Amino acid sequence: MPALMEVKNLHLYFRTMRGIVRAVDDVTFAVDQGESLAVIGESGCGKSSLARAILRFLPRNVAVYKGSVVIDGVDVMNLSDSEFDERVRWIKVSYVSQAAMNSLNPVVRVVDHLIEPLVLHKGVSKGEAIEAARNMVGLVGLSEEFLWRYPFELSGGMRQRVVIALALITRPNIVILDEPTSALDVMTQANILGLLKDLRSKTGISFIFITHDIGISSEIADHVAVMYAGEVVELNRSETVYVEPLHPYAKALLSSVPRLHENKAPTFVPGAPPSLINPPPGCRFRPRCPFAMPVCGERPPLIKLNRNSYVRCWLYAGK
Amino acid sequence: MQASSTLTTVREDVLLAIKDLKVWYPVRKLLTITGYVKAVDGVSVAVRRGEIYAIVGESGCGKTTLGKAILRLVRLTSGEILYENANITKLSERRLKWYRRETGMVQQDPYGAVPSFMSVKKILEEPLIIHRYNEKPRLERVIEALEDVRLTPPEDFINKYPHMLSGGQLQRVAIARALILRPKLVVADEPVSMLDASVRIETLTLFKDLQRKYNLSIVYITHDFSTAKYFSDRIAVMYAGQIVEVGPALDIIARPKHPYTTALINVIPDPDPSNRFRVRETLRGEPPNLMRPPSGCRLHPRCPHVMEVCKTQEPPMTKITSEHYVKCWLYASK
Repeated sequence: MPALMEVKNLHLYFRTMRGIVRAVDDVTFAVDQGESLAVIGESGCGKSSLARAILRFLPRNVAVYKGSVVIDGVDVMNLSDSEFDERVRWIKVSYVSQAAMNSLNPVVRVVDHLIEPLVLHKGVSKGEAIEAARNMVGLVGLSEEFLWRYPFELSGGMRQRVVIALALITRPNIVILDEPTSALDVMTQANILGLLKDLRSKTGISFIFITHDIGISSEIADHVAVMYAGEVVELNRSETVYVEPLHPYAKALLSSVPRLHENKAPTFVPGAPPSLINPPPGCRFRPRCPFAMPVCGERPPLIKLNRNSYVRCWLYAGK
Repeated sequence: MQASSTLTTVREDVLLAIKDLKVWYPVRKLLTITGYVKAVDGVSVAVRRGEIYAIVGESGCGKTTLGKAILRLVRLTSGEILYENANITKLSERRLKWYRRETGMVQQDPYGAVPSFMSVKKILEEPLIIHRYNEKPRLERVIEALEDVRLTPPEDFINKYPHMLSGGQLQRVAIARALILRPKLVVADEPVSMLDASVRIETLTLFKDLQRKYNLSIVYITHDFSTAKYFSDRIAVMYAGQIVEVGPALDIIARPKHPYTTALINVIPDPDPSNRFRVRETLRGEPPNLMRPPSGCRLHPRCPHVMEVCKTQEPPMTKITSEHYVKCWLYASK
């Protein structure tokens, strides 16, 4: 069965005063029907840029933008901007950004927010759109009266539900969620994660869940992509990544998580990720890696382990 | 059984004792006060010498206000704060300067906490100048402070400006500044929540090493149970302006008693591939408006174990073990 979305050798570089920033550097992964992928990594590793590259939300200083993104058999990188807008964005893939819940216009009613993508992207009549909005608020666990309220009257958790409804209303196959719960309190966060799980089982939708919070990512992920300095260093099933990750960075990242329910003191890797302007040649984790070898001065190959799982590390070459 | 708050002597090992503290912020409409936000409403705490005391709660529970009250940065409505047996709620200007020297503060956002136009040297020197150190001991102290927070060699960092440092490095400068007058008590309000996972652990480990070295008492204010578990000796859980449970860190995490603590701990996931198939119980509703907190137990509108008594009467702090206390009718002697 072909994957729902297949991203291959995706690059997104930005031009800045100080040089070219390699925010997304040769990223490859697939998302299968009904499966969810978590993209984890520290701030500045390129995970938000990856979302923007897929959705073609690009700033003006793009230096390199290439690769392929195949959705439903169509390489959307070949579409013009207007075709992309008509056929992909919010139709096949929608997006919940980091600050989305604060980007609702406080003086535009919830219902008017919700019907906009339907009317705009799908050309649905207003009456039908309102009907769809009615169903959608129910699906995200809000009562119908919320349709007629204004965002400023709602709490953070409720606004987040509205934003999720907004991403789902056009019935896309994939929703990209960029840190959807980071601004919320623990209990509200748990509520939203419960909602996402519920939506997944009810609608079979796929999520690409971008987060720095590894515990939270495991609430959603079937597959995990671990990003470091613009690259995916490991792509694997969550059964492997959360239990026995392969890449030394993935191992370090997992052991820096303080465990609440088991007793295992967290550890840290000294140093900091490299700048994405002129990253070190060869493996980018080499300066901090406890397993570094002379060969790591050359760029490690992508070692395929299975369909849709690989590790980019010399330790696994030639095995 | 509300803290019997007549001024009595405090146990020897207690550095800071807070008794029935209230901090209410007035809400004004034009010139009349129309109500109060009861940010801290009847809190009693005893912080011991050389311990890390975590105050854990969700946003808006009053934990930051409590931290500011400890440092006397907000106006107290009632209650007492005793530091080394001195009542710091009633300090003269001169004694207040002494208290400023005895205490330090680390804030959440290091970029906001240090002036961007000052070099690291200036940032670290300023408290020393205010407290009249001469130039030579001043410089020595600055170098030593940089070594303490492992910004070494110090000459590489001393002339840098905040924008030249990473978030983690700058937070270490902020910690060095908080410790430079050798205080005995430091209030750290979400000191690592803006940092990445690995840097977060690195910073907390460093902070804990310094705490041991100088036998500091730290009040660690956070929303994060998992760092509190590994980096504090005791945990106090705050909800709607009150402390609802307090005890040894590992005990609170492994054997929470209060329905609020239990609910929070149950919804926090460790990385685990089976999490995605799990359905978690959450509390219904949201924390109350602190202008009109619910009667009786403040959790009662959300609590899965609510009883009649919870709706009208405030529960007392009840002893579970000699170190573990909980404010809940489920455990009060009926």
